[in-house]
Amino acid sequence: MTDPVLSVKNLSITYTVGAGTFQAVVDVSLDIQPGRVIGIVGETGCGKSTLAQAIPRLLPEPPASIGSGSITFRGTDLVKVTRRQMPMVRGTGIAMIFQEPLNSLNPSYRIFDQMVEAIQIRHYRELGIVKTFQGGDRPFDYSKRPTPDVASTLARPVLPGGAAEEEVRTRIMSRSEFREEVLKCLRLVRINDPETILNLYPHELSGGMRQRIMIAMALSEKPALLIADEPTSALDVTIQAQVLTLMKDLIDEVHASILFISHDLGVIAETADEVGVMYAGRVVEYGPVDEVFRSPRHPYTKMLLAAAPRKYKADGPLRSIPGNVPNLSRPPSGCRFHPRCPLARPVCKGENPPLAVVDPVVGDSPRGAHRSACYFPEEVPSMP
Amino acid sequence: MPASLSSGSRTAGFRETLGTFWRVLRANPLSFVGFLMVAIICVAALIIVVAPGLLVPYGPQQETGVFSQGPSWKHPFGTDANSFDIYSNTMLALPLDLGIGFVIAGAALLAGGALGLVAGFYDTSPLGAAASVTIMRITDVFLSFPSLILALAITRALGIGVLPTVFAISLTWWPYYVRLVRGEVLALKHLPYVIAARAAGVREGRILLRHIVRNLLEPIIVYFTLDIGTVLVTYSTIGFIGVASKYPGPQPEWGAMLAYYQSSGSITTTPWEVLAPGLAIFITVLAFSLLGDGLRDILDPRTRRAFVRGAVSHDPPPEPQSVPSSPGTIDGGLDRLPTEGGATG
Repeated sequence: MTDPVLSVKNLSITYTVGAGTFQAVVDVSLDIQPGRVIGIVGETGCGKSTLAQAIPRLLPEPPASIGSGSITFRGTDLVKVTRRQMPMVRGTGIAMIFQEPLNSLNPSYRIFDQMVEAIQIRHYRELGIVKTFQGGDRPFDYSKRPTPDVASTLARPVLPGGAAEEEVRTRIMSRSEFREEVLKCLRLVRINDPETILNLYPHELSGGMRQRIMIAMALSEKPALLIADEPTSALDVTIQAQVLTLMKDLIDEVHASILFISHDLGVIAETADEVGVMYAGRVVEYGPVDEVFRSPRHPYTKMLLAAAPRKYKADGPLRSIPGNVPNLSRPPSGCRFHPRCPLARPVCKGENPPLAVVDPVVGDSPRGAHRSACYFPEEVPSMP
Repeated sequence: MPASLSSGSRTAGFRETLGTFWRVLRANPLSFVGFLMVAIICVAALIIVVAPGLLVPYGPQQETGVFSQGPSWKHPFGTDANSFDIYSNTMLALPLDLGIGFVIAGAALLAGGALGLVAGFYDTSPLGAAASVTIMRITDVFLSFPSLILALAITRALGIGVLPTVFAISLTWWPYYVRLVRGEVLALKHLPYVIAARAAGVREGRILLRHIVRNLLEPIIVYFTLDIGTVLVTYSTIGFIGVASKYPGPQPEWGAMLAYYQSSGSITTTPWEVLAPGLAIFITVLAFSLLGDGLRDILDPRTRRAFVRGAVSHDPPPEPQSVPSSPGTIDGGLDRLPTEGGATG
């Protein structure tokens, strides 16, 4: 087992609004291995978007504050990085894709001008013009200057005094070279006729196109981790399928790990290797996606799966989970799901059940353990 | 790809912008009129500053020897009881009144805009939050006074004259811009593209300029243009009360002219005296209001392109030849994607 790309340990996040505090994320731990896709699924307000934005420290602080825990990325604990250092850390390995394709591109700029921004930052960092954060066990890759390739060495003008070599290595890319970089990124996301797209404004593109440009922008940063916060929720199903297919193809091409946040169980089942189910700020079940979805071991997961719409009316009326999502300023004691849980016993009101490994039901899991935060995981399969 | 759209050539881009500007103006007859009026007003003001003899036959206090005469070819707006030519005096006031409008609205825009940006954008850090609260409470204090009364009081305290009045109005004018800019910034700064830029490592200063200020410009410039008219009316009101400038004098001013002619009690016998300065204020304010409306369409890339499309029937289209699908939304490449194994779950 290799080192994880990202390791979140016991992360807790609270929002302070007025006099009240809301525990949006409680004690979440997560390891993302290189090249894996981790899905996070849960209802609206369960803390999944807060988690997504907390990892690259994009949450507005205040009102949000990271109470405890660590987020280790490439040997640096991002929780300990100061506000002043954050701009140097951002864009050096974690990229994000957002939900609303309508607002995720600046309406005032042509596609080229938006896409070149991220590429410029990376380029200046590679050249050492812009300062990069130095710290942690493994400093960021951008602290090293790239080695010149054969073509650029041959193209280098021969000048006396060895000044030429330095010249070539630190040369800032020209506008047309930036243009080539942008085109490369657009072709990577299978955009037809990228040369025309470059000169268009965001409002001239469809939602699916905009989302693909967002993906291209995120990939242009050459990230080790891509955080996709509901990237397909605002798209209709056919476009959704295309974007998902694209993302799956890209995983192999760019070797990035993906943290995929969604409320859509189908989307998670389609893309993720492992899935974490969140409820009221806690991860209640975690494991390989097939196992979690085929044989859930937490009552919430089971009921969530039962509530997903089927294809036919004949399957009976839609099932819903009785009760409401708890108010996070006054969460229920113990297991946060117990007021809505058919399996609840007095013990559930006491201590919160730990996320413990459950016995695999369907054969042996080759991909790591299936965990559930329930005192009675063995009773879940026989639930109605 | 058409050369006019290549992002590499700057001159072509400029020509395209100019062409778009022209098309939008042509598509909105009213804003075109506004643009034309503002252009004429500005050129006239410039001529009066450089060579007044070209437009104005008489000086500000030059006696014509004709007393209280109605409009005629020689005196288009008549003469007053001092035998001064009213048309000349009105025109001579144009550069001052226009300058006042620009200076007061401009000063308020710069000061209020800067404070609004700070109050809206930097309100998360502890120091910024303190600054934000301070700015907004001071703004509230200013807004809680009727601005006209406050400007009057300050003018009285500083003494009669153009400069004290300009200063006084500027002092009461900036809070509106603080409110406007701060509101816009608060709405813009949580949009995904701002967060995406931050996630990519863009520095805060650059985010503020490229992603916040650039998208603020459109409402602010429109407001500014409309505001010039409001400033003119306010200044004229203070001039009308008689604390801004003296008329008749070496430098006429519309508000003061109105006040003087109105107070001479001759509005029923010699109505042309008040007509000229009143009409001047009306036309200037109207011109800027119409222009403001048109600017909204030009500055917003969405409506701008829509106008360009609308104008396609008149001119050769600048772009669509190489665009694969319909002009409304362009979704090239979709058909290339493999769609098997779709994610309907």
